[in-house]
Amino acid sequence: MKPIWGIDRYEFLHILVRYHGKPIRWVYFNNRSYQRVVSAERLYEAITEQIWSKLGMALIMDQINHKIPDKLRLPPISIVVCTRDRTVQLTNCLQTLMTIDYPDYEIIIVDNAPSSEKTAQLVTNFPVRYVREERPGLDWARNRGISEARHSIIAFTDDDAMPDRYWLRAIASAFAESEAMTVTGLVVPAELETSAQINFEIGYGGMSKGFRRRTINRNGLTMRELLWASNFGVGANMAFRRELFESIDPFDIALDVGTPSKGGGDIEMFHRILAQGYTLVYEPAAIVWHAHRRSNSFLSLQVHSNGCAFGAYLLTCARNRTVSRLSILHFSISEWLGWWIFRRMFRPNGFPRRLILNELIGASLSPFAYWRAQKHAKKLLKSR
Amino acid sequence: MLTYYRAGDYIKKTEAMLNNIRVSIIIPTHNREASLKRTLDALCNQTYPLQNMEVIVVADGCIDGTINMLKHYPAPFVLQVIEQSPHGAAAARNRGAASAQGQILVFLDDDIESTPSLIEAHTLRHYGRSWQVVIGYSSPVVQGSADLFRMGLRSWWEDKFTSMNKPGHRFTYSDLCTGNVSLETELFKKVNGFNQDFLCREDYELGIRLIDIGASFIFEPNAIGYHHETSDLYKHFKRVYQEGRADVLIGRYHPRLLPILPFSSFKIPGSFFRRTLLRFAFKFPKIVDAFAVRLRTVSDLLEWLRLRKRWHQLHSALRYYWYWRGVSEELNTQQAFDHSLPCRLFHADKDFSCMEIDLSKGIEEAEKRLDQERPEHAYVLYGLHPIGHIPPNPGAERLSGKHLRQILANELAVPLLKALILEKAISAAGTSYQRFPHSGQFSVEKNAHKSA
Amino acid sequence: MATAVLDIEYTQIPTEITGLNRYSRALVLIRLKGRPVGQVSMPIINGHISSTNLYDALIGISDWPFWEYWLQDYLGLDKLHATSYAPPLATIAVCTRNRTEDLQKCIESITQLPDERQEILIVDNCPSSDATYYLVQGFSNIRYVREDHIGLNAARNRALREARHDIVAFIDDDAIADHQWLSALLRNFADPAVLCVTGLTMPRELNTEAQEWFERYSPFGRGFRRIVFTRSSINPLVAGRVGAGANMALRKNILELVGPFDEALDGGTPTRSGGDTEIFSRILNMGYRVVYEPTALCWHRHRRTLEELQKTLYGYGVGVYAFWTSCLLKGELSVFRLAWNWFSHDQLRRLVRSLLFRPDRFPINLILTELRGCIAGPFAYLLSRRRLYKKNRSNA
Repeated sequence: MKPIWGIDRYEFLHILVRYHGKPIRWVYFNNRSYQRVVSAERLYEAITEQIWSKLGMALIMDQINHKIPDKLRLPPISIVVCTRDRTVQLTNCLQTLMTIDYPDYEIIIVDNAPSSEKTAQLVTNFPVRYVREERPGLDWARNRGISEARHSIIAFTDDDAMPDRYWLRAIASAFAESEAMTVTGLVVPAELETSAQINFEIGYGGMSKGFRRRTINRNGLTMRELLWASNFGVGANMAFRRELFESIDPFDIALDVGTPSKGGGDIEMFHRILAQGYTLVYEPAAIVWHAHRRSNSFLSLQVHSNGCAFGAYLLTCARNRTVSRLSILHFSISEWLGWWIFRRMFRPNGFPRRLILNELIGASLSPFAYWRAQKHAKKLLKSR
Repeated sequence: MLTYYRAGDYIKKTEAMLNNIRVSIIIPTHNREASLKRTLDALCNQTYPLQNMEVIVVADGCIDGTINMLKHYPAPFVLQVIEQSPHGAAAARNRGAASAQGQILVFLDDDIESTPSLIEAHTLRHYGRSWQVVIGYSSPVVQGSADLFRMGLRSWWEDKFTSMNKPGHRFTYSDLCTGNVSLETELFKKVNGFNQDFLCREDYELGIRLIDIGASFIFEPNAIGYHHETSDLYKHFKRVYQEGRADVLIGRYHPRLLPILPFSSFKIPGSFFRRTLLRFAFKFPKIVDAFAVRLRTVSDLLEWLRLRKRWHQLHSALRYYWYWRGVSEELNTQQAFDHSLPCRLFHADKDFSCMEIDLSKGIEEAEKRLDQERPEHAYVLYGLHPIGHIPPNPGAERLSGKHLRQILANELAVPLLKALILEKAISAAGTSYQRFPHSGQFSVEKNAHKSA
Repeated sequence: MATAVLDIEYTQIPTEITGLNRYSRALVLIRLKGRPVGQVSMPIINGHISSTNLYDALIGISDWPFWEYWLQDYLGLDKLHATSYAPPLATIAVCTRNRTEDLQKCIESITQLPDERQEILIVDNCPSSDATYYLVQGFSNIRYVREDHIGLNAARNRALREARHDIVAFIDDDAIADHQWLSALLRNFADPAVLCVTGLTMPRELNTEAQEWFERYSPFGRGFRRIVFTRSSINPLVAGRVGAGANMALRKNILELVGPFDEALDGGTPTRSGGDTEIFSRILNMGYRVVYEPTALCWHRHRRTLEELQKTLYGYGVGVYAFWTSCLLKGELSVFRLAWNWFSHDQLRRLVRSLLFRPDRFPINLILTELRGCIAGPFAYLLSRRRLYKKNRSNA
């Protein structure tokens, strides 16, 4: 461990501790005196202070887990990044993708209804494949990516996300060790500079789903857990086996960013996969660093979209009848509205109330959004 | 209660009896005729040869029928009766010890009913060792109804003995209770016996001097005496008052112990209400005393209403009050008070002998070093990582190897674990573990599973 | 689908566990060097559990019990304690009535315990046939005693009187003892103020829905940390927290120190349960201590059918209120406050959750059964006492 320099602007350090590449926990380091550097000893101290028992467990697990395979099968993977008019973030993403440590992978950039040629020009500097999808909608782009991909495993990430060096290795090992059809990973914030980012990560929960690896299957899930599909992963870090799409429908084109429903395409896919009996593995060792929105206005927009998207997702489930409609209704009232939104109105736990209100507004507008999105999707399908 | 003899002790038992060690049992008494008779009756049934026992009863200003009873007591052992005007238990014991002929002195209180093997257990412990102070087990038998106070009292006694019985216990001066303790007559004379200025806690004060001189304390769980406690709430508070005074005296005689005595951590309370109360209490002690006595009835009421927490709060407030009344009685003036409060910044390394223990070389190694050097306090490390400090305790015996593991498991547990994790010295299977045939997986007995 | 009950040793984790196709979940007891340190519930996918799944689940057990035992093992404290205390001799007593199959398994497990010169005593309580007698005759060195006074507490009192050794360890006839059960119980008697040691009871099987509901509704387990209970640390009126009578050890002289079991309570009488809670509370009231030792493990077979489950829960409701009635008759007025607390915090909440169809809700008939039992409790106690009084009078 080396000392950390140049931290005089920061009051707190949010440190992700990894052991042999596996993330263990966050450690919070206090820099109230605005020192410029923190030494390795102080880091050791802070880390052992806070997470000693988890570290100890990781050590013991390491020793017991003696069946580490030396030759892990590393199948070729296609990475699909869908983008729309965000060249700055896309540059960062591509630069990170270049540094991934993996023998065989291809990168496909799906440019979704772009307004200019900037993305196409940017992409020529990198050894990637460029595909253009004119119909606006993130799920249209994803489906296009699936059809263009050549390899048997398809990994998705967002254009404002920066995958970790060993991202693909972790995904490959997760696929190798189980019969999973889907692997999702841990999404951690790349920076916590502005209050909007801090609010999102700490107050709202961010995009991380924990540090424990889970194998999820319909058998072990209650109805409630199955419907809370947002607990299974995020679209910014997911991977699928290609053969999955031969047995189930691709991403729902009436959902996600770019359509009136503003999101929910990824969680709807997770839900559907599980509802049909396949296995999903949440592998926290597959890490992706995501740049949350910096400004407060974007954050409120994001939260609003979340509310809208989740409602649209529930309505899609109801339409597809993956589970009984009565249980979806019950879930939306008691769990989603009651427990998630209203309860947090009364006990915000540091998250600003007006943002929760935003989410509630989004939620209430979601039926209209869903209806509009459905019409829009039908129109686009017809105009093929 | 059961006694568990260890095999070797049987051999020692017969040898000790062959050696004819004389034992003198000293019992100070003050107006407790029935209790004393019970004690003497119990002593008549000792398994230790009665001809090698002598019992010296020191009647400290008894005005009931004690003397009469003693004169007519048919004792199968040598029974000496010494009468003296009331000078207190310490003086009585000293007087008894002065006329003792035996090589081992056993101090018993008049409310201790010994089991038949008590003297034998004490003597066995002394056999072959010198400068040993053997503390026996005074099992509390609380008289009267089971009320909160008596339960608390009994709990307090039991806790004391349970902690003394633990293998790595570090004995302190407060472990010595003269209700049931034995030591060699020579040792007693060397430390000049009890300090007669003390009306209570004279045993603690003796304990301090014994520790200073290097005697080793040991707890003998087989030396069982039933302690018939007759204390009640009123007597208890009076005793707390005396304890306050005694603590001040201890501080005077042994200034080294000042930092650890309870009264040296006195702080002027922050809130206005409490400060005024305190000033009032010191200006008009008699009024507040009377009030405090009345508060006892309140505590009875609380107990009847089963408000345990409130009862405990009131009880501890009253204890606190009476303790400080005792302290203030001894320290009459403000100057005396200021003088007696020690400077808290005592320099640990300068005043006390110290040692550094490195666990990375093995715990047995560390224990050996501790046994050799017997420091008063120690710094514990694991390699380069500090684990903690075993603080010096002026009233406790010096550190030795047997104390180490208990301290590591209790006070220093978390820092030790952290250091071990940092040094990556953690493994799941330290020693080989035998899988027992019936533990585990019987409910999947029909299923095949491959073991690692 | 059913839940498999598994027992995994941390230092010897199997690479794969197969053959679990009947089960959808697994309840895994984790041990470290033989001592139970935690339990984990995990789903079973396609009938097997791979070691990666196990590791993922186990990594969550980094709680204090695990580290405490690990440190004790590292420092060798177990051996140290063992050498300094010679545990007393014990009598294992099983009170039974008309359950020969379960009893056979129980006896088999007891006879396979390591030999610490214990004696085994079977108290047969008002049997309807001689099946138990013949079963016991098939084993050597087991004493058989027949108690014709009906009642589980009567049987327990008989066991206390008949026992030849100083400690009497009770185990239910439908439970199986773990290898270290007896030694774990006995080593806690070093402290003379301890009159009773209770142990951890895990479910042996969770094959039927009734068993799963029972485990969720009122599990026997009280955690994995060893706790010493005294009067100041727990209110004696909620003494049910110290453990269960299915797995406990008492000193024989409890008859003199605290008194016998109250024969108006527990199985066989109209009050159906609560006899163990009553003796625990009496022990605590008299100032003695009760130790909960999770290493003293036994595996209990819960009732298999829903009707039996209902009867059991009804019995619990009756038992608790009967126990509180007995306290009330001794002048403890605070039982009203306790009953109200229990109702408002626990039972009412469960009822409301159940009515609102919230997830993880209990079936409403179970909750109502328990409430019916509560209402019947005081009357049952009074009835039981009258019967006992009449019987004593007719015997005298």
